[in-house]
Amino acid sequence: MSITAAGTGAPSAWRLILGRGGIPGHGSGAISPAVFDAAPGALNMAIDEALLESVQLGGPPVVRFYTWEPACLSLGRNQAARDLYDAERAAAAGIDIVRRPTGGLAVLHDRELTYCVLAPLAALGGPRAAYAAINAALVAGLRGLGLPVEQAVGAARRGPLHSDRAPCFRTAAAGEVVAGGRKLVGSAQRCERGALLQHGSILLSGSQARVADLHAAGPAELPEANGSVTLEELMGGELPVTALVEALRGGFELTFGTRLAPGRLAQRESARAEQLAVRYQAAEWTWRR
Amino acid sequence: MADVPADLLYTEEHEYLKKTGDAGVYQVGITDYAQGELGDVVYVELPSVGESFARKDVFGTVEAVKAVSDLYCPISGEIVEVNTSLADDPGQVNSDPYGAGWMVKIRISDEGEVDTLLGPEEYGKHVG
Repeated sequence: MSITAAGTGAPSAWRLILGRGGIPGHGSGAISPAVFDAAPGALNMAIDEALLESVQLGGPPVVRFYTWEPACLSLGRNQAARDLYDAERAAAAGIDIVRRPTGGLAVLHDRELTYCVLAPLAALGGPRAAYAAINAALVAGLRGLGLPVEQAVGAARRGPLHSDRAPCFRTAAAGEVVAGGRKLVGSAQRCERGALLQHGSILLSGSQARVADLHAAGPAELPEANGSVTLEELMGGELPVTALVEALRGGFELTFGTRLAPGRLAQRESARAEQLAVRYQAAEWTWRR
Repeated sequence: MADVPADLLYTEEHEYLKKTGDAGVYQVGITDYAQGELGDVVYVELPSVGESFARKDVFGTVEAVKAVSDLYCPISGEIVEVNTSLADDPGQVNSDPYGAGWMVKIRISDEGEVDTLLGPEEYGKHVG
């Protein structure tokens, strides 16, 4: 299995990709709202996987920030979903469904910002060290906005995946980004051939409780405690996505001692993402379990 | 310090190979070092009996609280048995990776490939 790899450590600059990755960074590297062209779930997952392949081929680490249109429920790679979520109910609500390449549980991507880190495992010290470091970078960035965030403390041993039917944001795993014990960022990983993909959802506004509306058995009762929190609640108002991205970019640059250089997808990556998007759209993949 | 039993063979990708009582049939799983690096295992995706894999083919995945990792077949052969108990108790991979946490048994197709694997000393150096 892929948890370590030979490598020479992190290069001096990482790539920064925004949205669909089709628009280059502007002169000074400032981020314009125009670059945030949201994409459907299948294309977003395909772009993440195409970038993972670039890292496996020896490319530099990448940080990508993106949004989703339409709203989308993403399932964990191994999550049992066939008897749990209702595709028709989701379609009626205008919500797409996609199965991620990464582990974990269901996340509703609506009024949120997703981050993705692609890097050689050796540069990040293995999956658990990477998880801690990436979450530390997110905390550093969010604290730069004055937010009272921290990483959750360790919890009791998790049971088998099939015994956990709650969505991702119901509870925080050790190391995840929380504010006042409530989860602000939910993340998941995939390790493949010496490279790591970690992506996660940063809640801007709205409610993850809508996930319950998509249950096949009908709307589930809401949990007694609201396990998640949004940036809007913490800041008492809306934060422009560009300001959030600049803050997080600073957190990554500080934590990893690097520079995030804005750029676009290479031609090969764009073409590969188009191919991979077909698999992510396929019902055989989405409803494999 | 990770446990590296002296009677097993290993891969750089942190799988191990263990002889069984049947000639040509080996038990495969992930090493103690690997389970420690992963954390709590919550799901193991395994192939079916009868499937064949070449050396280094992906034969399954292991998920540990959010992180999915591929499992690479250490040696070419056919799957003859799968550890179905991992469906209900994947934590066995953490608590007993060389015993109850075994993943598949494989009937190897090329004994010569055994020479490509790492001995306990080499693997011990690999994981530091």
